[in-house]
Amino acid sequence: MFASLIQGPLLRLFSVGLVLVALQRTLFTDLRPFGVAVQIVLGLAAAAGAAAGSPGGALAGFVLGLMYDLGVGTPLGSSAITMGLGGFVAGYITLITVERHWWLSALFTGLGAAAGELLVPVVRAFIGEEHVFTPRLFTIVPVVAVAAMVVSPLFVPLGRWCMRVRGAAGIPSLERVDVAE
Amino acid sequence: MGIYTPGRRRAIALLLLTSILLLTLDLRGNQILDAARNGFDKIIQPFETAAEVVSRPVQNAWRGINDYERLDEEVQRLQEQVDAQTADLVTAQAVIIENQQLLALNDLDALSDYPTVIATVVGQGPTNIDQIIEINKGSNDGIQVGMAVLTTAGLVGKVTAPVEPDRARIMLLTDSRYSVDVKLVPAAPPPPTTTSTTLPATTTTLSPAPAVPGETTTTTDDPSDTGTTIAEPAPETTTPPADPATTTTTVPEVATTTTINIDLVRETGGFAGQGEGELPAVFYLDNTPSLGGFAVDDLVFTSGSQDSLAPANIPVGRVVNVIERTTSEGPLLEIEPFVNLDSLYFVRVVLYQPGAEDDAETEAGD
Repeated sequence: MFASLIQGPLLRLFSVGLVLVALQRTLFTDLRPFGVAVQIVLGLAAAAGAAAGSPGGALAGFVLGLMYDLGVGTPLGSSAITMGLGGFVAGYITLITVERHWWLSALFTGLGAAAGELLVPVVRAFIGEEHVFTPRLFTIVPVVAVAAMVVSPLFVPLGRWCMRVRGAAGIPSLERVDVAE
Repeated sequence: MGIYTPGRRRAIALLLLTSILLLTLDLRGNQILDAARNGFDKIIQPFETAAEVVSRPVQNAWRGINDYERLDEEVQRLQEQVDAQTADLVTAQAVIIENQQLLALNDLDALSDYPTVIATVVGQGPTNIDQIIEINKGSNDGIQVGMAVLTTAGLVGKVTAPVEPDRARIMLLTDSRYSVDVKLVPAAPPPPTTTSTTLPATTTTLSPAPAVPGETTTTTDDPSDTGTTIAEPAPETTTPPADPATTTTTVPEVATTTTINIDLVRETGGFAGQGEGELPAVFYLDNTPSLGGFAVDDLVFTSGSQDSLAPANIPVGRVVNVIERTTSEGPLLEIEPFVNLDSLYFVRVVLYQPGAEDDAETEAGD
């Protein structure tokens, strides 16, 4: 069990997640283009999905989301759902391509991040919070998505490393990251 | 081979169910999860300190690029405001001192009775949904969850979990989860309400025994007890009886004027945030037109009720819109906060615990 923990993606995700949550709580509380907090943890979850496919993206999103919830103080599990979905969506839409370029990975990362951020108010409404669907979502979602696209050249290789994907040219290898095992 | 084997589907479903389970446990309050959160805070602390050091130049550059012009304009605007308000300030300070002396004389609680901690705002919340800021003081300074936070302009919000030893998070009053009991005070003292009533003329027929023919029957109303002024009545007339056995007395119409001095506090209600970009609102009001109703520019203060987390008489904001709804729902008032929440640099945490919590602690101690 210990060996599988070391060899699996969890330890790497945890280490990288710690740094990213720390950055999210410091640097990215100030760096607010158009008044929107850039969600770099969500960006990594989506990038991991774009690199490792939808199951890997869901796993990365779940782990990173839990760390985000623990670090930021949001209801525990809420970001695990949204980031899990972000990673899943980014991984799922990679299936439309056979050969991927870096700009396609960036696009998929952005779309995954947009899906994850769009789900945040849905989950908040689900747990009973009110007034979460505001017109500002039309600003928040595109900014988060574009920011994820911008960091994707760095985050896709990082996600591949975290998820231990050794696919050639970054083509998602769904067999390599099996969260059931 | 299929893309999603049953094993993978099960794993994804398991992740989703685990998230929902954790969410449910966390919302219901779970000590293990709270301990996990505290533990994670301790683990991440060194990383956060390092991130702060590393990212400070980037932060400073970003602030310099984004805030310079805005700050320059704001300095000019504020300088004009300061000039204009200097005279008002002196008058206001005199009124505040007088008010505090009166409260002390009458043995009433004043906001200045409670100890406070001044803190610097060090950051905003990392999410795009929650309206949260971070300050550089925490439980080491006596700050606890729920304490009211204000500036000299008025209420800012309340302390929310988690509170770390040297850092705390403030939920702004625009957050959709924020609520506090408030009272409404008219911006200008209302004029006394005057109502006039005219009592109809009455005719009384008396038996001859107690009445002496030709004598006038007089009725006296003492208005001093009721605040009711009775206009000077026309002289009563005694009709000489056709039948000498009876006396008929006719009291003419009497006009009365009633003056009611309305209490300055019109109504109390629940103040709640509506999310970013939306004005907070006051609910649960009972519109009583006889008390003058609600009007734009009415002032909103914390009511300091038994269970309220904030002490009484903290200025909250001003009514900018009165929305009439159905009778059962009552009117809804949109409030513009006195505090400019976009430019908070220093805040004051009131180390106040409501009476209900004090009682609970006393009972727990017993």
